[in-house]
Amino acid sequence: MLYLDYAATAPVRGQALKVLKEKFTNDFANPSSSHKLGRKINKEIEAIREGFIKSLNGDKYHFIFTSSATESNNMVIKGLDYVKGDQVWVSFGDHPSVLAPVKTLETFGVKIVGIPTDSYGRVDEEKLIFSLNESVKLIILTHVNNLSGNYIDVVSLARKIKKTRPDVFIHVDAVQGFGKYPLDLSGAEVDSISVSAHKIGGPKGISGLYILKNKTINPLLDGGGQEYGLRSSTLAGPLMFSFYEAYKEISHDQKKHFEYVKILYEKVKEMLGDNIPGVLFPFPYGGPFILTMIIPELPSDVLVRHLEMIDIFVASSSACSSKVKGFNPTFQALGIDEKYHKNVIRVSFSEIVKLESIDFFIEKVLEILNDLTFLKKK
Amino acid sequence: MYNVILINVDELWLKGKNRNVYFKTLKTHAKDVLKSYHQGNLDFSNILQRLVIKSETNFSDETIKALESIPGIHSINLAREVEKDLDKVLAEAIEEFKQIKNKNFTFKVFTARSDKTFPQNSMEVNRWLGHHLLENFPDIKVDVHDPEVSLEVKILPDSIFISTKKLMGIGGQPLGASGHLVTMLSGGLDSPVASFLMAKRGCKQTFAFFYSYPFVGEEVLDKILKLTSIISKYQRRCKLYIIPFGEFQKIITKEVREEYRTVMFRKFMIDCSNLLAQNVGAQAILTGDALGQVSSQTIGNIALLDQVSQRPIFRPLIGFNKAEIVQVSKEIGTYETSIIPHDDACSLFAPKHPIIRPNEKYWNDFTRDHPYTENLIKCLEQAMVYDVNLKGEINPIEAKD
Repeated sequence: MLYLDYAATAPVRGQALKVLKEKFTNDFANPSSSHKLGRKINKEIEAIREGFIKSLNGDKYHFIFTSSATESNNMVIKGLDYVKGDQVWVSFGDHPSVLAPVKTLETFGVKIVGIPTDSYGRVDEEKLIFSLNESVKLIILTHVNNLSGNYIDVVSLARKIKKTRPDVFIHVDAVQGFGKYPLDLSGAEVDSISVSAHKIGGPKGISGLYILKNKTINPLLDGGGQEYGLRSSTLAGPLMFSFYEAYKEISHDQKKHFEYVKILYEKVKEMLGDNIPGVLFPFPYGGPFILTMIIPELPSDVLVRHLEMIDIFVASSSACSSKVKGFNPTFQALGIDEKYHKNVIRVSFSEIVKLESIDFFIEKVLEILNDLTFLKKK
Repeated sequence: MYNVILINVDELWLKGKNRNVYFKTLKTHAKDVLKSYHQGNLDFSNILQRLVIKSETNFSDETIKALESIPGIHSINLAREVEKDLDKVLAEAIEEFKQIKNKNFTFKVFTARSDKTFPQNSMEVNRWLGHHLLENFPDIKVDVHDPEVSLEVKILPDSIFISTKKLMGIGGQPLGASGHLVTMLSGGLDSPVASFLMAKRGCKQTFAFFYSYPFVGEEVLDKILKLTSIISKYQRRCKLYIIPFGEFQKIITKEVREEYRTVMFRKFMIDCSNLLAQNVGAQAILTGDALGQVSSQTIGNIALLDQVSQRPIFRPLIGFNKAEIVQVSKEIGTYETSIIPHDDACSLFAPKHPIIRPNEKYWNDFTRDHPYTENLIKCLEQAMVYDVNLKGEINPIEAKD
């Protein structure tokens, strides 16, 4: 099997899986229990919480465990206090776990404003700063976009925003960049950051939220008062430990991984770019973990299925929204012409992909395309 | 509420010597359906060319609905069985009338006295019951020509049946009375309607779907399974063959002139359906073609396809307008499923200018030089076969290794 859909999810890393099994078997007690076993686990959880914070120099933040990045995003977006006329700024090319909760705010009289972007789907920072006004309550930034691979230096942008509007709340969805790109929270420029375990080789069902200690949000879940009262639920100890294990592994050699993945990315882009007539790469500033391409005249689902037949897995659009018919509003927002919406293929990488697998992938894609030339209308 | 069902057989009057076989075919089908839906003992008898089914327990709506879909049933009377005592008949008739929502309806009593020893004759019973019903329901009126409610009373040797509820069946001929077809399903609106129409004419069917994976996705299979489940209620257990066709289409595409692609795909689907028909003992092929609807349904293309088929091709929709097809599909409940969008291999492969008046020489030369029989046999061997039971539940049949 050759899996190239790491932006959707990743397999659980060896050590993370080992920890998962070990903790589920032995350290299964409820961390809130007052007995020795519970106390021990609680202490260990506090230690990894500290580990997540220290790794990003985030002393001014709490790190809260959640069940998914969707939950983390919802928590912040729905947890702030709004008054009628408040504005929430968001990019319409962002993930549904950001856009959908934002949409629910409309019923409270909140206005949703699109963040200005250029034709490559990148945030136009200058324009953004220029258009800031008194009504902006929340700005949501996506660290790395899941389709374009566009990266935002969120800390630097947040600094600029706060210079003009210090009281605006800045939330970052860092799901695709966490552990893969450097992030330094020492300046406390952003107010909260969503991160997820399963995109970096941790288990599904565990995620996190960094939130400035001096900021308050209304919790979605009330109960036993865990996670500083912001998210009640029995702590999912084994998942948390496994998450941390995966995070340590991916962030340890971050720079090395980044450089390696860049080689994979560039190789695919160059080889397919040179050998597929008419192929387009709509996001020249994206990458290296995500490579999106358009093969005009070839429905991406057809290529995806030809690849799956030989056990190669790539995405034809975001896993959450891929379905049958044409128009895709996210693609539109990212600047992809509607005539290409059925032709978008996303290949996403990880440092665990071997270089020779990439050669094999390129070879197979070209072979399939060569076999399908008859689909091109004369 | 009702523990007696009277089934009136359609088109029985057309039949001569084979009337018994015809009646029996329908009876076995009804028995089969009742056994899979109804809990409790069943007693079957034939009275006055009708099939009478009695049970100790009442029949559920679901059971009655299933009976309504049986080809060959003209109508179904839901009846109460009463002792041979007119006072009791009246009491039950009052109960029956009380359930009618509209209070000022017109009615008529229609008595058939097959037990001639019963003291009152039919007319007397009509009059007596009519009189007492009018007394009990001051707002109702008699209308012997076009009544809104018709109270049927059947005086039999052992009991009396009364009924006001008549449900219309789909009519036509009992299933199997007109042979066995291979029905080519496509996932669109037409083929399920064609299947229904021929079920009504008594045709047992085996369903075939040509699956163009990897050119189309698996979501089309869900559609086909749903459609088969709906139209199988007009069958009496059937089979569905999902025939892999994508790889073979690729082969044809590379050999045939672009403008002939679509009609050539049709040709090989018909060849494959004939092979399937041979395997399952079917005598004809059924398609949802309507004349001129798409390029492969022009007279020229239909003529060519008819020439290559070893079996007759039935096209019951040939003279239907799209709106008429839509109408029937809504009636039989396939419309909502048929219009779910899915990837369509035909449009993917569709040539810019499909051939409308095919060149006979090219066609003949190509089909002679490219029989592809082995490929077609392979497609059939690799088919996923599903068994559809009387309730429309679909289960895959394990492949014979």
